[in-house]
Amino acid sequence: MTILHWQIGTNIENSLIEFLRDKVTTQSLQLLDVNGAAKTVNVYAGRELNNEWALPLIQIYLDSKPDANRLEIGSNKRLRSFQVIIDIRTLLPGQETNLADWVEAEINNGVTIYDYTPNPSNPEAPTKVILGHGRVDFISSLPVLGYDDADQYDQNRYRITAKIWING
Amino acid sequence: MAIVSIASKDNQPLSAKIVAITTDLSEKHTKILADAHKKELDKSIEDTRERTMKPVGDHLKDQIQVEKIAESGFSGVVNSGYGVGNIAILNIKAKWWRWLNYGIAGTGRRIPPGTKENPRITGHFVPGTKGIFTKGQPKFPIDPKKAIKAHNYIEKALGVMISKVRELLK
Repeated sequence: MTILHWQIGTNIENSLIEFLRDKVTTQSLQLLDVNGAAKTVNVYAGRELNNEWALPLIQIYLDSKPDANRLEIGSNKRLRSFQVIIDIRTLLPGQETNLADWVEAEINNGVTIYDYTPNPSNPEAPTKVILGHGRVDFISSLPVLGYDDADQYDQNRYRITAKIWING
Repeated sequence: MAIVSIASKDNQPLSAKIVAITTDLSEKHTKILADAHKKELDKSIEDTRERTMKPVGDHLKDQIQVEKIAESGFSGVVNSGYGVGNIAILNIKAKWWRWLNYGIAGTGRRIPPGTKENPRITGHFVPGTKGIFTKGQPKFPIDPKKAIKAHNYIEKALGVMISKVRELLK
């Protein structure tokens, strides 16, 4: 019996999340709320919005795999892209654009991609080895229009779509 | 010394001829890309479909069309290319376009609404069963609590098209 664990898609998704979480931590990145109190930026994984998530936040998930071109004829090695959606949601208008600029600047040079394996002694910290370097292409970058009756998660929202390229 | 003279058959300036040819080629090229983008959008919508297509009424795919774009320029109205999907039309005939893509309706809602008469929706909306959402009997009343997920069909199509365009330009 084989229990399937981390595959390339989840490896890339989690590598990107871990990369941004590290950057937020090392820079102590915060945004102000309406009362002028500093709030730490959170990075979450998942397509579905969770009402328990704390703003401001960066939501990341793998959405599709648009490219899987053969590197050369006769080889099964492929140059693959993994398209991720990065939804940015903030407390105040304008912050979403600033945070999007920050995200784009941070991931512009690419992201180290890790191969994760479960760590039974500490499930929150899977063991990892470097798989390669993921190059980043930006596909779209624009605010998601606000709506009159939208709740706080959708009042100030920005979406970045990016392809992460890796050989394999 | 030999001098070679090149002239058009109708004695029109060559520069005008070249501009006319390249403009025509450029327009055809843009049209091909717009048509390909429309196909990718259709495919993305189908690939992310969670329920069967309703038999009647307006469908999102049908409302996304390739349109020639005309803009005002210094020399009058000029054709500036082709657009895929007219938001003004989508906002009337397929208002759910943004809900499906971004997971939020134009009203700001993420969960299907009730009706004025009956806030608890009478209908059938269970993605897992690929059911069609309909109001009224003989369906059983339900009260949807699950938000519609973002399908990102616009981004999916863009991701494929950008690679296609690069291949074409190589």
